[in-house]
Amino acid sequence: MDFEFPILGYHEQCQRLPVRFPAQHQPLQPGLETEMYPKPVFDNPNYVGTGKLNNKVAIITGGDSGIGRAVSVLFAKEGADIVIVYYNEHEDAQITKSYVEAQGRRCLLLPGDLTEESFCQEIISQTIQCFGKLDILVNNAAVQFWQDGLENITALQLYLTFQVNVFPLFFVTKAALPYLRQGSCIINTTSVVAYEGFEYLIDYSSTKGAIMAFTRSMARSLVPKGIRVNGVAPGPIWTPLQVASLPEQNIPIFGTESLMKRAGQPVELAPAYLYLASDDSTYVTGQILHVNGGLVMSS
Amino acid sequence: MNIQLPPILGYQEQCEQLPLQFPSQHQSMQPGFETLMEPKPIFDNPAYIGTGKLKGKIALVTGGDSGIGRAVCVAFAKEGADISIVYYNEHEDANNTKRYIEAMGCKCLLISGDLRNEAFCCQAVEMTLSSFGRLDVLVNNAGVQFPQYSLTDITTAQLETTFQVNLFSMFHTTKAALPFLKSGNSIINTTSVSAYNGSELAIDYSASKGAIVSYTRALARSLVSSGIRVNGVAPGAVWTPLQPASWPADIVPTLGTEAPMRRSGQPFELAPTYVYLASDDSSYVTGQILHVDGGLSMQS
Repeated sequence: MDFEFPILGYHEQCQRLPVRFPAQHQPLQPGLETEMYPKPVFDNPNYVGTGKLNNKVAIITGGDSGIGRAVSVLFAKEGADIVIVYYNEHEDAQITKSYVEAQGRRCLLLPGDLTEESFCQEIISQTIQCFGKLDILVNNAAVQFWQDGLENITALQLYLTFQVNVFPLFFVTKAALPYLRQGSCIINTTSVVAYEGFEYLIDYSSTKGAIMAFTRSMARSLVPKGIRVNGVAPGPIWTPLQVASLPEQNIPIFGTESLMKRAGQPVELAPAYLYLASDDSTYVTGQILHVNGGLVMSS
Repeated sequence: MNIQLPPILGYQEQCEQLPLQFPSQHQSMQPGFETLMEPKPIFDNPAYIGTGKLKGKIALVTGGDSGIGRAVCVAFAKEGADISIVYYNEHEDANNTKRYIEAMGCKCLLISGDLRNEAFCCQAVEMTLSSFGRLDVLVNNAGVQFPQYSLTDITTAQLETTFQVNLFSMFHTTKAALPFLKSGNSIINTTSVSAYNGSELAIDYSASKGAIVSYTRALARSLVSSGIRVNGVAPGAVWTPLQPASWPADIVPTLGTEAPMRRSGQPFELAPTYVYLASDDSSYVTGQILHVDGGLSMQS
């Protein structure tokens, strides 16, 4: 290199970061909401539903906990019956089910492995069998495996991340298509890291970019049928996924990098999904909503 | 050019049937009048039920007399807000909106004047405060658009007017409002799809809307420590008085058909987006633009 960039010295710059969470780590994915402390806030008791999703049927993958749980509860408040697809977190799923049922709505729990296409198809057939129809599909389930550098991402991890985060969107949506009609909608959860990139989650952020483009392409593909396709890109949110993937020492200051200097709570995500699921957004398709405390402003 | 391109062998004709949505029409003055439009824009969704999301709040909406602004005022009122409408001189439109809001049991203050004038912007905020005692939601929505075929047709006077109305008024109004805004309050700016896609027939307008995008982001950073959220909405082609008042009559019938949804939006389809950004539903959202454009741009 022809140029030199001499350093004259150093200027120390410090920041006081608010600590909101005790250090904690869960060894397995998906994580368990029951074992988190403090518990994520997933319900706004002051929220009054007005039947925005009255008698609609919504499938929410990863609906047992985290953002998916908050979405399930809010959709139920707005009058929807809920199908929750989850892996094996039975206790989390039962808690969410009880909240949905407390709203007077039905809740079908479907535990299984989204990496299997046959299970993805079964989700749709079971939903139709139970409720007779499908109106809203929320593709939300995901895994993320923290690694320091590309060299530490094994082929196995890479494939698994895409098998859970991306391919089921193709499988489930494909199986759902024959049942979706004019006015139905699809909502995919992407992430702020699709926009920012993230050096410790290279494979995860790639899957989230794929979901973004999938959302746009499907929006174009389904617009003649009157089916809207949109996404939500959460920033750092206090969910089981975080404690199950981040190093323990990163948890106390989790989310403080956002402009609001705090992590979001699942309850703060749910209205964005409701907006996209309801007739409040009839002229909206192919869009991503950013709920990230101001972390990224690229919309 | 040194590269030899393959010669054109012939042409293939490609035709498209564009749906006609509106009779051809033009209004000769800006801002346009909703009363003169045919068909009338749909600004209220009767199925939309308020639940007090903005109960006890005061909202100031510039350009609230008609178009998107009117639909926003109506939805805000349904959610329990009292409204201060700032408009230019469309008294009939403004009074119609006021009556509609008052019929819902909310208060509505009409403030008529020229947003190009900083003193008037301050006055609008002062009148709102003296009438309601507070201000919680500021919607900077008023805009003008003067289509021209080329940059050379955009006079300096037009350029200045466009920026004065669309952008500088936001600085003036927000500046005047700032001392009275508190944590939990919200500012919403109306930008446009043309900030993202560009518009060869509205170069100055789209530039002013691009400025609003960056203004929104910068102000979001500036006010986050005060707990005030700043966001924007980027409408696509929406059936508002601005359209017949700015586009030639023959463009109006197919307005918005270039969107994947192949239609214009109606003002009522924009209102819930503003409610979302104004209310606690979006407590973790700042510096963002929401796109309500029938899929016209997908770059969020």
